[in-house]
Amino acid sequence: MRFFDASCRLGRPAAFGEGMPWQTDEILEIMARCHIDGALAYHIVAREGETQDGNELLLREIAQIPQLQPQWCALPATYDEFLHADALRDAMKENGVRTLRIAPKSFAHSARPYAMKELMGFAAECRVPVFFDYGEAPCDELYEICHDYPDVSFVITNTAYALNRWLGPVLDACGNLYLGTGNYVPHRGLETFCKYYAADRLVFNTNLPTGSATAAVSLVCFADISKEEKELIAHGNIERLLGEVRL
Amino acid sequence: MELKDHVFLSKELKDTFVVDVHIHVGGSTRYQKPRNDGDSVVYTMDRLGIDVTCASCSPGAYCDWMWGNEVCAEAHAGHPDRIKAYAVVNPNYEFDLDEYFVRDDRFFGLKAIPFVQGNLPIDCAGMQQYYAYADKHGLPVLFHAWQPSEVRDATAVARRYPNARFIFGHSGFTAVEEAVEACKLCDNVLLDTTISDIYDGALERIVSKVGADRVAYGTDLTAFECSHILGRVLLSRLTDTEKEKVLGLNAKEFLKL
Ligand SMILES: [Zn+2]
Repeated sequence: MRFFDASCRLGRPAAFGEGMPWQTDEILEIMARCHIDGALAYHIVAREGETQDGNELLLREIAQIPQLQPQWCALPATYDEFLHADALRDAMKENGVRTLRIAPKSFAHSARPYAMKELMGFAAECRVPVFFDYGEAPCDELYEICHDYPDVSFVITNTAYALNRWLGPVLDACGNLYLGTGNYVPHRGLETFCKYYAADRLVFNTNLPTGSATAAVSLVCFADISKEEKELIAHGNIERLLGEVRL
Repeated sequence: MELKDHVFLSKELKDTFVVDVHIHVGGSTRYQKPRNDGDSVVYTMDRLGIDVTCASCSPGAYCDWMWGNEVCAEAHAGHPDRIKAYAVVNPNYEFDLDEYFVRDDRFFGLKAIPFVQGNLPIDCAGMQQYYAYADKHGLPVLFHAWQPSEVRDATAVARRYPNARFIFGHSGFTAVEEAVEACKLCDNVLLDTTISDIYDGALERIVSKVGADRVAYGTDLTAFECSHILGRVLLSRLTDTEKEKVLGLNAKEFLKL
């Protein structure tokens, strides 16, 4: 089985555990070891430093690496702080960027629809999938934004344990919410998810380098689900979402 | 076939002896903890090729530990060769462990997690009765040893009670320096691989510091899945000989299975 990682991170972290594979060549090594032949990557500077500088650094970092595709971090263009919709569309098209990552809590803005109008309107029109980490938006805000922008596919990554009771009602209500499988670790969690919500809402990702690719591929490979469901999770669903993007 | 191939072929580990030294049974009010009974544990063990698991009832530790121990003993009773039961002990009570180990044969070791029982330290006065009992009878004790201070306390206990055998749950990832020191000072200490989320390379780091003989597979199943931690071992850069030690051989010897 081959895997495509829907979300990992590149760039120099302020701190890291001894032996953590944060350098790009280390990430490529572990991808190869885990049969992951491609990945969407964002840059730590875009997430934790300055968004547009980080997005630029990302393009330079992966320019010669065909396995890695860019994922840009984005925030609302209030005060012209970020690219407005038209300019964002042009820039993404020019640079082959097909997904965005938001981080409302870390970027200090609301995730409610009124605050995300322009950005989400753009994502809906161009069918751009929007990624964010669990915890970046409280469940009620998550529900509102998923509900108000049904044409946007939202992918939640970096999940933590104890999320099922929070997340279940949002998954019930909003068919456009997808779950990144990296560190989604309830006992037989993927099997249960497939039973209640179907495999086509699960997207394989690793959360590298802080997350574990070896763990992420094993969760899928060892899950008590069909080969077809595994293929959808491992690469099929993200390929479908990327194929729907119209910039 | 190399051990790592089991992951990509989705094949259970038939020819490798696998022991999970750190699992939990019983449900929880705190979060959804599905399929937490003995039958569900054995279903997962069979699918992955895990031979033996060692369980405690973690929700019981937070409230009525004796209720929790009954839940755990029941899981063991349904599958005596597959699920071994740790009795959770509580430092706020005086309790004669003969109740569990002489008048009852359902338990094989102790689980110590006093920080959820009034925020008490591992080496508190109320725990000494249990450590002394474990020392006298050569019992295994599984510590929740997450914080560096907990690992230092656990090390002091392991030195004071050399005939008991201590598993320092989590510590090889969360308090590395202290865990390494514990292994240096005490022959009766084993670390485990239990942690839900850790970067690739962390297992290799602790094994390089303490040796492949001092780390055993543990997962926190059913609080979490266990296959991702199995994969973390199988797809690590350890040799197959080292992986076999971590997956089962160390626990077999340490726990006298
Ligand atoms: Zn535990």
